[in-house]
Amino acid sequence: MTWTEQRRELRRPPEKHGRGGPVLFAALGWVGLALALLAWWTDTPAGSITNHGELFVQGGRITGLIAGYVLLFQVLLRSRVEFVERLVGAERITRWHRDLGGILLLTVLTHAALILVGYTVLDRTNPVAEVGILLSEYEDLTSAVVATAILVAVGLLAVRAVRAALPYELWRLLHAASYLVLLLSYGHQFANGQQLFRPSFGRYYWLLLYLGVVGCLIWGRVVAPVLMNRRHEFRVAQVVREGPDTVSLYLTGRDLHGAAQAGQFYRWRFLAPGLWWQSHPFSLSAAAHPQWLRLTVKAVGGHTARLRRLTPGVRVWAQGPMGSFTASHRTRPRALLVAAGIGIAPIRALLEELPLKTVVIYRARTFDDVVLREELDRLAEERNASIWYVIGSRDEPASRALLTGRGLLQLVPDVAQRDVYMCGPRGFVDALRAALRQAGVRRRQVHDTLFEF
Amino acid sequence: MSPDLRRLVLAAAGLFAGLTLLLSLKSAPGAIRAPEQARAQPRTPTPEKPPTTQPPTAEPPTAAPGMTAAPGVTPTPLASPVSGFTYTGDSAYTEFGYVTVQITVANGRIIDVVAVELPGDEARSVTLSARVGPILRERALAAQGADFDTVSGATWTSEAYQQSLRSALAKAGRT
Amino acid sequence: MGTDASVEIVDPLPPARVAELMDEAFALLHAVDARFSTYRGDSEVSQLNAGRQVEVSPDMREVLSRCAALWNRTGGYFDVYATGRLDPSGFVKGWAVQVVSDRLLAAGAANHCVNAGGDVRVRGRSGRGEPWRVAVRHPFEMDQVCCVLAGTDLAVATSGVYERGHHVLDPYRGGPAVGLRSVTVVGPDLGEADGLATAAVAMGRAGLDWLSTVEGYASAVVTDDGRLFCSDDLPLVEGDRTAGG
Repeated sequence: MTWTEQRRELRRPPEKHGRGGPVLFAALGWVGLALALLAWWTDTPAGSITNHGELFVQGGRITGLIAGYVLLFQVLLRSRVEFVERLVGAERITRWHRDLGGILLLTVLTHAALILVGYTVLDRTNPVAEVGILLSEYEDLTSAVVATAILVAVGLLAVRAVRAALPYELWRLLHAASYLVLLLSYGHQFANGQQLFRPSFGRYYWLLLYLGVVGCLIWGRVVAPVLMNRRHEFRVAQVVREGPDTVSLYLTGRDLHGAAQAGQFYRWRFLAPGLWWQSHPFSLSAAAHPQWLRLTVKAVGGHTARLRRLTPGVRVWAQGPMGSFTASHRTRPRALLVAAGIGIAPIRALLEELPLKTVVIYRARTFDDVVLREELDRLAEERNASIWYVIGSRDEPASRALLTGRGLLQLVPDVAQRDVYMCGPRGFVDALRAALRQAGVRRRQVHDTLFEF
Repeated sequence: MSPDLRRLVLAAAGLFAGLTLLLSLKSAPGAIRAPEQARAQPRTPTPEKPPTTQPPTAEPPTAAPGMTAAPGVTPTPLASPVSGFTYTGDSAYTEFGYVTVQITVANGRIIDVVAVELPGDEARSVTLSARVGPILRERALAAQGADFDTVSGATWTSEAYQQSLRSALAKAGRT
Repeated sequence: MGTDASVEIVDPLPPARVAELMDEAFALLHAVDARFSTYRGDSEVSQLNAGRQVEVSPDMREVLSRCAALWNRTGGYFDVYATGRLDPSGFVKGWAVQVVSDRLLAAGAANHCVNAGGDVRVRGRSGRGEPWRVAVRHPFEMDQVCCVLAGTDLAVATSGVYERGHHVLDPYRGGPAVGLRSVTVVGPDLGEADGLATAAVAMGRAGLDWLSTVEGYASAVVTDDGRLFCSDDLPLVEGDRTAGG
């Protein structure tokens, strides 16, 4: 059975999404942090820091509060709960999560160092002896030390070079050790935290934060996905070969109308032998159709290669939709879409929902790498869009020119007045971003979606 | 420097600046002392204080070192270590205020007492059950007249002490 | 234990009987020393610490059981293993004196004062016909006393850190306790009072607060900063009297 594209009415671009979401969320985050530090402020009498030891210990307490708060904020960011995804957007969440990870590690280590130095001075002993004293005096310190060690390990793993060296699924599994950090540090915070260990504003606030964050975590990662999957019941309907190593997967389900916007992605778990234990993010390669959703996937590893052999009827478990790489995030009346390689998938979907007169640049190494060509051409005709196919290796003049401000302006003279949506390998996207800046495109006009979720 | 690293460095700088600000706002006026040293004007030692029958107030003194009931307020230089030594009390939860005290003792007399303020309710101190009994009341610590039959005290190993004890007992008419 | 001990019997008993009771009292104190002194290599305590197989005597059992109860009562601050090796001397001194006093009472000497190592048990009245007066050594002025207690049935134990080289270990921190200079505990049982006083010193300033929650025992505490605190029910003798001759 083949699914044929039916002619349908020209889609109207969706309503524009308000741009204040990230700002609002960040403001809430700062307010929450201020409240956490307020607990310290009110608990510490004026003029009470009178010697070096006390100075360091108090510094340790402040950094302890900051670290605990950032940890909770990180978990909230990654809880997949809808209001966070909607306000901030998956791509920005990933960026913030990265940056905050480094800050968290820095703050935790600073906290430990300040506490150790401070108590060493107060107890008038040496640091090594002080470690012994602290560990024997508090039960929960041992678990705090373990939590810190895990955090350091997670931090080291997150270094790009290390991450690239590991298989994707293994890396994600190791990164999940972060949950252990949350668990182990819970006891430490509430038993040893000066502002938390007895009934006080600090304690109640922290309990509230923990409750809220864990609640969001359970909702976003367990409850909401269960509800969503029961509602849609995704199944593989057909696997269509698009190119030598590229396939489209058509998925059916219930209630698909408006399930997702073009440009968004889900994390997909195919419940078939050999595939069920991994979940990968794939964007929709066509706007959501009332009867199916489509993914277009290139075989780049074992998992994606196996996808080509999926049989119809396989159940699929999904998490999403996620991402702010959508037409509703546009800031201008016209858009430029740039795709490299399999990045064409969300670009192709977006083409259906963006306003008319969009320009598409599709960069591929060889003609065989170009997929969905007929659809693209047809859509271009329907929606008065133009498509530039830039074929050739990276070193060829056309490819190189694409990544310069001048070259872009030649292809798209009014690029500075367009939203730019780009999707492709990291190196390409980074270089293009620089070129866009050269061409006078502002940062807020540029949207990208990474395949690194 | 990669943008990631640059952002981290900025964050570190911000953290450091924020810490410095917060800590300085809660510091005692005047330079922060190391716990052992103190600068000061000399003062006359008077270990006696007027007897108080009320428990001391629980409000933390807000000014720089000073304790209303303590005999001393300003620090003096350390007495010679042979005959004197400085104790810095461990901070602990007490209902007598947020106090840790540094005293200098020489020749068995307190020559100086300095209250070093610390936040109360240290999470470090032993967590004890809620107080149910009456509090211990403060009294004057003064030498009493020697009319007694026997003396209770911690270890009596020093020869000097035993001699002085015998003399005290002799003075009391008990030989 | 290497400390002075004194026994005073005031009852009008025949001198031979008094001498006999004194001998028994000192014999008991020596026996306790032989069994419990950590300074003697052949004591039962030292043998236990050396891991040598030894028949645990009933006295040792009782002492260890009382020490365990004290450990519980003091939240772990009275800890006979705090130094790493068994050392029940913070309880044994008082316990020994209590046993001596109980035996004297049972033998008909109801008016006596027993003092060993600063732990005091008094019963009845002194030679002057008044309740016994037990003074507490002044923790800063070595040749003075700082308060006087009076009673006809008192156990008075004092633990402190004013003797040079003498420390009470904080079993949680593993270092010397600071905060309280001297703790005197008064009550019905001297062994218990001894353990409570030792634990209070180990707690540091928190011990001051803890002592007020201890039932059945009164206390007098001198802090490192020279302040004296007494419980309301401490049998203090008020007012100064000039020293006699």
